[in-house]
Amino acid sequence: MRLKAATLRNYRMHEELRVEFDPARTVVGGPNESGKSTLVEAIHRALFFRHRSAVDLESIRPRRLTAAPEVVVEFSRRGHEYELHKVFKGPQGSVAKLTDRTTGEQFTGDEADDRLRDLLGVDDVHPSKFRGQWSHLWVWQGMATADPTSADVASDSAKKLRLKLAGGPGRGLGESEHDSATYATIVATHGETYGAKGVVLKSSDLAAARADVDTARQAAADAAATLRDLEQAADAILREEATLAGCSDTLDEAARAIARTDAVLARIEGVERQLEHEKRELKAADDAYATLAQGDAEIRSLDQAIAAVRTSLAPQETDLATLAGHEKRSQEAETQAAAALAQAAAEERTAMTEQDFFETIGRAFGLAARRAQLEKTLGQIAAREAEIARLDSQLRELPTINEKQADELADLERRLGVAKATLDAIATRIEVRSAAETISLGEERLEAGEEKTLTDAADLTIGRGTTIRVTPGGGQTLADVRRTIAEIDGSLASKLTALGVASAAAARETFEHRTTADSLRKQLLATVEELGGEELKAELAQTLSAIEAADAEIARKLPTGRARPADAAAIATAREQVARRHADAAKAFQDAQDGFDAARRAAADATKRRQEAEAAMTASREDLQRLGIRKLALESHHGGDREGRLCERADAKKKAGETVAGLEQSLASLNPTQARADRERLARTVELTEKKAAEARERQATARGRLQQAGSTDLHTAKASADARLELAERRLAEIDRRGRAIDLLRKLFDDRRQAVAEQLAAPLRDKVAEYLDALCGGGSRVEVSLTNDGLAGLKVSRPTADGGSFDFGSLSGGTKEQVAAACRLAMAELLADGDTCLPIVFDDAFTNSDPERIQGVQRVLDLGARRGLQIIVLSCNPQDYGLLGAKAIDLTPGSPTPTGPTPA
Amino acid sequence: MSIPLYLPAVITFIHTADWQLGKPFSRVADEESRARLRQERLDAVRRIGDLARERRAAFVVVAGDLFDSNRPTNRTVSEACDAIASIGVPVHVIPGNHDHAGPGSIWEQDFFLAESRERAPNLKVHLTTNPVDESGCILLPCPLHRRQAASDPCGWIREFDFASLDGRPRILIAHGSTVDFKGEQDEEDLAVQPNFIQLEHLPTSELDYIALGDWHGFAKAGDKAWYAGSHETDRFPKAGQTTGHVAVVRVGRGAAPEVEPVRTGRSRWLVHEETFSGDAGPATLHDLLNQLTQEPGRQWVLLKLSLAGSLGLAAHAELEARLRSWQAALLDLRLDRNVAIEPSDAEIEALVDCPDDPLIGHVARELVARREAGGDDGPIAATALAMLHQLAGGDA
Repeated sequence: MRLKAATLRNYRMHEELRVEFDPARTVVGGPNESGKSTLVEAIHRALFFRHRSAVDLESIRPRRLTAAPEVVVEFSRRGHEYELHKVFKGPQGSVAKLTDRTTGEQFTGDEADDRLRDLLGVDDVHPSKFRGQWSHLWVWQGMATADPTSADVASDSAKKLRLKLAGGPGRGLGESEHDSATYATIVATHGETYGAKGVVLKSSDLAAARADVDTARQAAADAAATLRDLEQAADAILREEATLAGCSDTLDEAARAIARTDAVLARIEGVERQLEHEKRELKAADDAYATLAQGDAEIRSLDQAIAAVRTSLAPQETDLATLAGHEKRSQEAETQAAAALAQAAAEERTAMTEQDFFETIGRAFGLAARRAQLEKTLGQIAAREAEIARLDSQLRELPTINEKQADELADLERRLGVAKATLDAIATRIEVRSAAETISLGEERLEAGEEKTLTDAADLTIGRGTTIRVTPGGGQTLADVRRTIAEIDGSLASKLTALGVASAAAARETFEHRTTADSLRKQLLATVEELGGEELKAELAQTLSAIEAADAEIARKLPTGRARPADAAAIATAREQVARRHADAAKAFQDAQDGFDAARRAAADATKRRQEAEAAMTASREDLQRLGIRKLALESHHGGDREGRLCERADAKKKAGETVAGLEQSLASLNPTQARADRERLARTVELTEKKAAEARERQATARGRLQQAGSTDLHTAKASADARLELAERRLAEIDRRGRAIDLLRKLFDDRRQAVAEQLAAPLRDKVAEYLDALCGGGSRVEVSLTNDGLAGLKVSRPTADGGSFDFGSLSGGTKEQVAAACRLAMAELLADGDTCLPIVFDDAFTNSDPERIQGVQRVLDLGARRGLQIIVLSCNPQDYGLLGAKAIDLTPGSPTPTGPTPA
Repeated sequence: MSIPLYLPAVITFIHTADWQLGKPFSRVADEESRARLRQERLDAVRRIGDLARERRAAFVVVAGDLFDSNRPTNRTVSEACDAIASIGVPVHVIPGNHDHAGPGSIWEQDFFLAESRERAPNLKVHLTTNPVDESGCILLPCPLHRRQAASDPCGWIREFDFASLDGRPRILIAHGSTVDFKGEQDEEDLAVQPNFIQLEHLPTSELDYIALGDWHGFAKAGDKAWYAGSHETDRFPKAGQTTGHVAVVRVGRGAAPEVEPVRTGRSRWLVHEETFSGDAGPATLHDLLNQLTQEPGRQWVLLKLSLAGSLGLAAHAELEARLRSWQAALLDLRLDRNVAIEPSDAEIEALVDCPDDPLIGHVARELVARREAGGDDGPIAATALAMLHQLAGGDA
């Protein structure tokens, strides 16, 4: 179908408007409110609204006129030219007339509407849906960015498109109603077992069968366990019975063996008792023989000992006599040595006395010499002590001044001098150079050449009538100086008075004098100390006393008739002689002493040896006596005829030994060790077997208890039932599972196929859209869109430059949306055009979001559509945007020439 | 041993065994059916009572396995006592391998002792090998004391001093297998086969009848030796086996016993195998089963049905439907189903080659390919194909 021209009368703002469309490309321009949209709306109304429809009727009436809106649409389709004339007056008075100019056929009223519907290929719809007719071809203002595959935009067209894509004759794709119905049944049946995501529904037979199997399996396991428990208890009773029987047999056998072993043991004990007795006999015989043999041997040995002692006694006596003689001689020599010693001692004592006497005299001489020396020194000391006393007296008379005090006084005097010098400096000096008249200073008369220094104000009187008050300068300082001088002067005077000196110089002198005297005194004291001082006096006293004592001693020791030697030298010589004599006497005494000691030791030694010999001999005699007594005792104890009796006892001993050996052999043949081990082993066997039996009885009782507890439940039956139920449940599950898997497989195969078909069917549309997109923005565009039961869905676009990702239509920008939507619409229109090869497609202000660069692309897209046989009608308030489309331009601007415009060739 | 004044020459008694009362029939899926089967075993005991009265039997011998286990429930014990009491004549019982007299067995349970004393005074349980006088006969019981006795339970009879017995007929009662009967064991097996009765070593001339239990079919086991079999069938019998009978025995000292099998069981245990080769198979099978179960009626029949071969999709669906019907009607249907789903060429073509329904066609082709590829997924694909066939309405 191709629109050729449209004429509007009394349609909203258009009183009379005729527009002729280019068969391929038309751009209708005009500002807002110039009636562009009204033009296409009127054409749409004429084509798709029933002529008597009152829908939106009020809105299309002209504003000023009462005349009814009227539209004439001229179009061609499949080689026929048609004219459609409609007057909209609502249910009453509306007109519809369709004229086939090619054939001359004419249809009016509802027939015209019906015929038109067939020509346009649209279904009869509710009046409210009229506006939605051909919505994919009619881009209403403001709908440019809507998803062209959405149900709102393309429900009707998309269905048609889907049918067209799927149901093309001979293509063998898509599905029939029967297919769909079967699929629905399969989905429903599948849904009885499986939920979303293929999960088995809890309410399904399959889930129930699985649960049954689980329950039955558990029940079978429980029943088996219970039964096993019971059977084990029954088995245990039988087993323990066998154990008990075995124990009983063992005990019987053991009892018999014990009886046998006990008999053997009784015999063994008899032999052992006898053997014990015989062994005692044997020991007695042994002992008797041994006792006699021992006594005999002892007596023999005593005899030998006595003989030996006797033999040794004679030489002992000879030795003793020799030793006694030696002792006597030694004693005599000792006596002689003692006498010599006494004599030497007396001589030594005499020499010593003499030496002592001379020593005392020598000492008296020494003492006298010392006394003289001491007395001289003491005289020197006394002279120095007198000097010290003189100095002490001198110091006592001098004022006591130390260095500090002297310094202080000197300082005060210096400060006083300074103060006075200051005063002097301040003072005014008056010098009388010449005196023609009497000059007096105060009361004092001054002569020529006299000088005066004034430190205080004074009146200088010259002559009679002239008095000059002279005041020295300085002011306050003068007073301060004066006060200082007074203070220092006062302080100096008081200190001088206190120290008892006239001046600081005197004080310094006094101090120095004291220092000198003190120093001298200390030197004297040191000299006295050095000479010995008091110690010497004491020594002198002692010396005097010693001299006295020595004199007394000398007097006492002086032999009668002899004078006290007075010559010191003679005394010394005498002392040496006496000392030599004493030393000789002492040596002689020592020698005598040594000789005596040796003699005494020799005597003692001889005595000792003699005593030892005597003791040895006494001991031998005692031994002899003791041995004799012992021998007598033994002989009396063992009696006579010892040899005969020894033979008898040896015989008895041999016989007893033979008896014991016989018995021991008998005992060995009875093997008592083995018999006792057997007895022990058997006793142990009995004990263990009884214990084992007791345990078996206990276990049996426990097992019986378990059987009793099992009650009257038929466990065999229960187990068999549980097993069978499990088998049944498993069989049932297998069957249900098989059917479940089968329906699942069916569902999957149907779903897969439908998906594949849907993908396949949408391919032509995808390719077409991609072609238009390539025209818009270069090659490589890819589009996803799939067919659904109701139409199309899932429009996605990807461009090679856009990171390779694909984008949902909804996520695109406004400009891209309207361009992609336009591409889609063009593709859909092209596919739907089919044999007719043409469909008009109207874009009413459809690219308002596109930038100028993109508008270039849009023009290429629109041109491609036109070249492929579509009739492109663009409405825009900026018709210059489409200047390069090469389209017929129609200007609806008020006042412009009749909007026919130039038609391109 | 006192000698009765009157000794009838021939005595009639009923030999039965393997009642296995309380048997759970666990392999029967339906709980109601299991209950009916258990009840039927009790009712069959009552029918033995009817037979005893009819044949004037002096007593009944139960050669082991009166109960299914040696610890039946109190309810089973109680019902058993009532049923036994209804027989009216003495009922002599030995423990078999199922209800052996091992430790803690039913035979020493207080409840059983009290219940049997109170409710079934005619019940005589023999736990020892002591000879028993009964109505002019000597019963020689060989009770089992364990599930699997290693030694011949009748071994003691070889040492028995028959000279102590008088001229009354001697009936040995035992439970176990016999070499003659099975005929399959070699010498090595004999040593390990439990509860094995060596018939050839029994002093047969000293005995007049050997009443055996353990084998569930009626059968002669040897000279004077019979298995009575279970009184009510309790398993699918082997070919040629007579089950659900008791033996009415006429015995006299020194004479060959007269043994007559009499049916006491009601349930029928059928085994049928069918190999399908054409899609008419399910209908044919249905007709055949109708015929087979006419007597005693579907509700008393347990059917072990082994199905093999292959069926097309429609026939398979038909088979499923028919089996559901039989499952509901029979006492039990034990299916061994190995029927392959082999869609016919036409069925495959109908599913695969349907230009009008391209989706179904595509999926069907995929399933056919998977089925033909075999492996684990093969049967699943076949089932899915059958389901598709069914869900698509079979007319795709």
